[in-house]
Amino acid sequence: MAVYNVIDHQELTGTAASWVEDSISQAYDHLLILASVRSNRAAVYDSLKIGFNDADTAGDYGHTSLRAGSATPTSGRNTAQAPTYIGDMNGANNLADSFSNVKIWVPHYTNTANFKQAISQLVHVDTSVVTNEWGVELDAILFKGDGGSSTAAITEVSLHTGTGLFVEYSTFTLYGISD
Amino acid sequence: MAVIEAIETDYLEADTPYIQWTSLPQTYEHLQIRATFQDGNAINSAGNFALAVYVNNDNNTPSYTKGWMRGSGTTELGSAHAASNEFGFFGAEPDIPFYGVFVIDIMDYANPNKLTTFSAINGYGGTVPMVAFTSGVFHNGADKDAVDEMLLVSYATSNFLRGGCVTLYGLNSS
Repeated sequence: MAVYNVIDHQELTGTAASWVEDSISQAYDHLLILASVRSNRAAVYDSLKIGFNDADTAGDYGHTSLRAGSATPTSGRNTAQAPTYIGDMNGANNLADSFSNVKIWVPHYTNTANFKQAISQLVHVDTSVVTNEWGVELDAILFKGDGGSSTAAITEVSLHTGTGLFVEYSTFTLYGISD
Repeated sequence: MAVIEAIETDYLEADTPYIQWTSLPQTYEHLQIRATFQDGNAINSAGNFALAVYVNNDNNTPSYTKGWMRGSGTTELGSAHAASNEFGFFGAEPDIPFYGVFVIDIMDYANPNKLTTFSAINGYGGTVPMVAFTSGVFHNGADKDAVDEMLLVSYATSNFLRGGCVTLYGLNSS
């Protein structure tokens, strides 16, 4: 089997509130999501969130972030969001036709012994250098399973906007990585 | 066809002023650069110098904007700069055998409806250590052309030092 395998690829032809991939094969060792996204929220950014296994209860997730959108990088932690926030992506008031890059690694997603961890990289770009009209963010994502105490394998993954919609031409690629 | 393929690899057996890739195929979904470099100017200090990545024969810095957060081991900093093209740090020849490392992603590079966005992770463990996560956008007017050419240079406008290595990968989506 090849090391990199395409599980799903979508390019939006209209707007969408989310991208969802269900019934993910358990034949791989790791998952990699690469996305190029923008929201139509009438602001310079919109939240980007990730979910697993349709879990939608606060306490199912946590994230620990390191980000900069100004001269002072900050770190935060939140365990009350479902799906959980992984940073700010480009919004409708950012530079026209500019999109955010998103990379998310989900290692050992089929194991049933541990809570799942993932790590994400997200950039929010603009020609403006005004605070929070740009941003870079790294997030450690914790998934404690549907109900907050499950070590079940990941079979579903989704990306969501905050208040806007993903715009046309946003792309989502899910790879399965084999050993 | 494999999902990830090496498009170009350059092993720097001698000091090299720049690395240029032309006629890049438009058949992939994403591009990724994995590199290790050192600045090659022997009269430079061991301090930090930066890697620039230009596209589509536009080597004018005002066509690019970057944002980053970085740490030096003692100090952390965030900043954004208009008219800037830097995707992380290395040192200079007096600091060998230290070399900087870079992984740079250019997603959906062939889409004619998008500006080109870069994201990069970089580290350097030499005399002036650094770790950085950097964003960049190419915004020459409304140029949304697919990326078909790339030029990598040291922002110090000197050579890449021999011993560096870089590979450009293409990732398919089908």
